[in-house]
Parts: sequence; structure tokens; C-alpha cells
Amino acid sequence: MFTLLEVILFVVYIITLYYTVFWLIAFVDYAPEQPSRQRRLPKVSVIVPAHNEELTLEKTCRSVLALDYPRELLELIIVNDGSTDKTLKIANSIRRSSKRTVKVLSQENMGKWKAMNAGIAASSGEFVACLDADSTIRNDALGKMLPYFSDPEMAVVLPMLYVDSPKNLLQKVQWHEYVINMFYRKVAGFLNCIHVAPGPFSLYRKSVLLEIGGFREGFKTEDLEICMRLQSRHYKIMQTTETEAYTEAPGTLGELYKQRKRWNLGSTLNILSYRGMLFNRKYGDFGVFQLPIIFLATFLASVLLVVTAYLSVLKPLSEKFIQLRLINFDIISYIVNYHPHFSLLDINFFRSFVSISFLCISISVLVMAHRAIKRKVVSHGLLAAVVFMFWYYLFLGYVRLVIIKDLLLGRKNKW
Amino acid sequence: MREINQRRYVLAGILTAMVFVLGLLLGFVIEGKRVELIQDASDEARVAISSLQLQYAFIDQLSQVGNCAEFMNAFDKNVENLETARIKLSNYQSQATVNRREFDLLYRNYITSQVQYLLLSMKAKKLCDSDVVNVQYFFSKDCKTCDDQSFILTFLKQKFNQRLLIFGFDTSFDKEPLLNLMVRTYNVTSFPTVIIEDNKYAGFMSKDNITSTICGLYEAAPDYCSQ
Repeated sequence: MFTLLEVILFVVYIITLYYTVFWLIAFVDYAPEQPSRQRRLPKVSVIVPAHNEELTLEKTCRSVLALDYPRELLELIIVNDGSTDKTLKIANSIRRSSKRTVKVLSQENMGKWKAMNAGIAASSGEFVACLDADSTIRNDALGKMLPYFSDPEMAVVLPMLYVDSPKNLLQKVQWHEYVINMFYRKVAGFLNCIHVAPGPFSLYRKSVLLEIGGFREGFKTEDLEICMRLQSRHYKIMQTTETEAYTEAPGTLGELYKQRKRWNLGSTLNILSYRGMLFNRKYGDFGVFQLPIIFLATFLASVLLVVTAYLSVLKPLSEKFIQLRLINFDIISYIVNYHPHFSLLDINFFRSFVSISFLCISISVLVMAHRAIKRKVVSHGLLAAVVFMFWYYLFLGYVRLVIIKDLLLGRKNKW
Repeated sequence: MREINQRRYVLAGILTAMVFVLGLLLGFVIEGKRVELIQDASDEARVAISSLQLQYAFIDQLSQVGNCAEFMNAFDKNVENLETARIKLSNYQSQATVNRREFDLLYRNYITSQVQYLLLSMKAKKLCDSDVVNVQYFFSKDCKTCDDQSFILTFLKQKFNQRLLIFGFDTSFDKEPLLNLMVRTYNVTSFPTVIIEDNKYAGFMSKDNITSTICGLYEAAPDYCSQ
């Protein structure tokens, strides 16, 4: 009655459906936290780790210096991580010209996590923000984010993150992806299930960072590893929707592939490092639901990609090729005499139902996510939305397939 | 120890199950519609065979051989429609869940209709002295080359048009005794097996091979034979 592939597809479908329904219920339950007003403003250090960032560093630092926050309570720390371009020169120029406190550190190229730890060691703030050197922040960020630290268990607060001025189709497609991710992270924050604190302006309580020993290499995904460690110690990580950060998105497929491969491989390896948390009730929704799904996502996406590619492309194409070979490639006769006797009832119901229900859910999530930020789904053109909906996840599925291959072959993460 | 809101997990499970049940119900509705569609086609085939049998009797008893061309034309059209419906039925039957018995009955109905058409075509060929080649094609769902053989025969049917009549018999269906009788009569032991007029060819036949065999049986070969 059902082929093996259909059974696999069915299992993937049920898991994905359950997961999506769970998130939608959590979204309905979502009640934004109302932080209490701060009695005093704390000192904040913003660390900008930079490795060969001469093109974007100035813009990034200017956005920090323009933060609407008292001069004496804000310091900018630029950590030059062994740059070979003019990064250090630009950093020193910013230090000289700024009226705010700007420190410039320089080290051999040792990676972002070591640059962050050097910045933390040199910081004097009660709170520490990390800002990637290709990102910027809105000037109200600290005023909106700091009040959430009135909760003593709050370790990290994240701003909304958008692709900065998307220019080409690929960047516009990623703009949609970031919107969906923010929507998802907003609900994840409500469930205390956030597993990554992205580089663009994640704001940390420094005492917690020191307590847990700062950043680690974390398979080249230090922002993910630190969240896993914070979650393992039951700290809170939350996403605010009240302020925004902007980041540069890869402009070519090659760059995007490299970036996503690093992120996804890092994600899988970090979860494996913290496997004791998987399905562990002690860690609440994070251990029971979020971690298993993130871990499974790599395999689910790969299975979906392989099954879809096989059923929709490879199988029909190879069958057609074999058939045409049987008639000595008499293609013209075949087309001229082809009389399909097709009715809607002939469509494979199971596959159609799965496809249509996934499509409905995807469109609903896309619309809800955009409505939550008061933007139209077609704000960057219909083409970008369509490519995002129908093809982008196939690309991510391919990335995950490569990751599985690399994991099986024992290959390591590379920059 | 963090709190887990069990209500969300249970509710998500219930809603997922509801979507699943909705899918199942829709599936049953669609399957019912498929049964109706095939039932209609089956009724039409029954009426058509009765009509053709009467036409044959009319031509035979009143020696109206002048009407043979029209008769053979209608005959060919009906055989083609029957085959199209059989392919649909076979496809629906393989996906059937709750209506398997109905589909089995309909499939038996089709087999008997096919055999009726086959017998009528043999008689009509003699009566009208028509230059048509009859092909009986025995296949099985487990056979690896049967799909390829089916494709070649369908292609040739489109090429030879009314000059070729093909009757396909799916021997994997074991619920119609008439089918077993035919398999025994023609001593079909492997699949695919093609019977072109009275000659049996066991195993896969290439397009060129089958074309030359068919072309050799015509008194006046169609244009395609000389291509």
C-alpha cells in the first residue's frame, strides 16, 4: 500500500507538523515580559572583534558611539584580531576622534572567541555587548535591552536582527529568513529555549560570563556554545522585539554556503558535546523539545531533500530517459502522439496532502512573522518571497546533507 | 529543574492528530470519488460491449459487411477507452485503503469486459476481413521489464492506431478465475509475454523486434512499417 519512501516521508511529516503546531501554540500563549524600570543605569562595554574589517568597521563603531546612552557609562573596545589590512589603523583613528571611551586592543589572529575574551578582560562595564564588525545597532538599543536584566537569572538579551539593506536576490531571500528566525526566536525566548546569541549586539551580564569562564572555541560557533553552556546552568536568554540590529548578509551562493555550513555543523557538534541535555526534563522545554529538534533538523532536512529530489526530479527524469531510449529517442513522434488521460483524482493523494498542508503552514508562518514586525511579505519583491518559500530550504537541506557526509567522514569545521 | 508546560505538548499532539485524521477523511472521500468514476466508466464499457455485440450480430445476420469500417472504428475506440480506464483502475487500486473490495470487483469486471472485447475482435476480424493485428499482453507487477514493455506497446498503438488492438492483462491480480484460464490456455509462464495473433513471445521484446513482427502480419502494411 505504501512504499518505504512514503513511510519515511510520513514520519518526517508528522515530526515536522508536531513541531510547527507546538510553536504555533507557544506563539498563541506568548505574553511579552514587561521589564521593571531601572533605578540606575549600569556601565556597558561594547566589544567589536575585528579581523580584516577595514570596509565595515567604521560604520559599525559609529553606530555604537551614536548609542543613546550616557557618555561616562559606555565604552567601546575594538579588538584587532591579527588583521592584515587597515583595520588597526581605522580602529586607532576612531579612538582618537571619539569623545567617548574607546579602547583598541591588538592580538595575533586567534579567532573571535579569544578576541571576545580579551575584550571582556579589558572591559570595565557591568554588562558586555558583542558586536560583529559588519553589523550596526539602533541608537535606542541599550535603553530597550537593559531593563530585562532586572531579572537576576537573565544572562543574555538579544535584539531583533535584520539583513542590512539587502541588494541582490540572495540577500533579499535571507531578509525573509531572518524575519522568520526572529519570529521563532521570540517564541523560543518566551519558552527559554534560545540556543544561539548571534554576534550582532547580544548583550551579556558580565558577572555570568566570568562565572562560566568566558567564550570557548565551540567548533567555530562560540555564540552557540556559550548559549548551550548558559542553558545547561539554567540562565535565561531572551529576545526583545523593541530594538533592532542590522548585519551584512552573504551576497553570493558560495559565501552563504560556507557560512551556513559552519553554523549548522557547529550546531550539530555543540549539541553532541552537550548531549546529556538531550531529552532531559531537567532542562525543561529546551532539553525535551528544542535541542532534539535542532539536532534532528539536520537529518530531517536531509531526508526531505533526498526524498523530494528523488521522487520529483531523479525518478521521473530517469524513467523518461529510459523510456525514450526504448523508442530510439523518437521524441517528436512521442510528443505528437501523446494523449494524457489525466483527471484530478489521479494525483497521489498522500503526497498532495502533505505538500498542501506544509504550504499552508509555511504561508501562515511567513505572514504572521512579517505581520509581527509590521512589514509586508512582498516588501522586498514577490520573487524573493517565492524563492524563499520554495527553494531556499532545499538549499539549506543540501548544506545539511553535506554536513552529514562530513560528519561521517570525520571532517572538521573550517572558516 | 525547569517547568514543562505539559498542556502544550498534549495540545500539539491532539492538533497534529486532528490534521492527520482530516487527511485520512479527505483520503476516504477521494477514494470514494475514484470508485464512482471507475464505476461510471465500467457501466459505460458494459453498455458499449453490448452495443458492439449487437452491431456485430446485425452485420453478421444481415450480411452488412459495408458497415464493417465503422464498426471496427467504434471497436478500436472502445478498446482504447477500456485500456485507459484499466490503467486508472490499477493505479487507484494500488493506493486504495478502505475500498479495496470495491476496486477488486471493478477490476474483475474490467477483465471480463476485456476478454469479451478480445473474443469479439477475433470474430469481427474474420467477418469483416479487417487488416488488424491483435496483441495480448500479459504482465505482472513484480516483473522488472514490464513497464518498459508497456511503454513500447503504448507507443506502437499510437503509431499503428486502429490497425493494432492491444489487450493488456495484469496477472498479479489473482481474484478473477478467467485470467488464470487465459494464462493456462496460452501457457504463460514468464513476464512479460506478448501474444501477437497466435504466436507467443516470452520475455522482453524491443521496439524494433515487435514492430517487424507486427508489420509482417499485415496484408497491406501501414506507412510506419516502411519508416
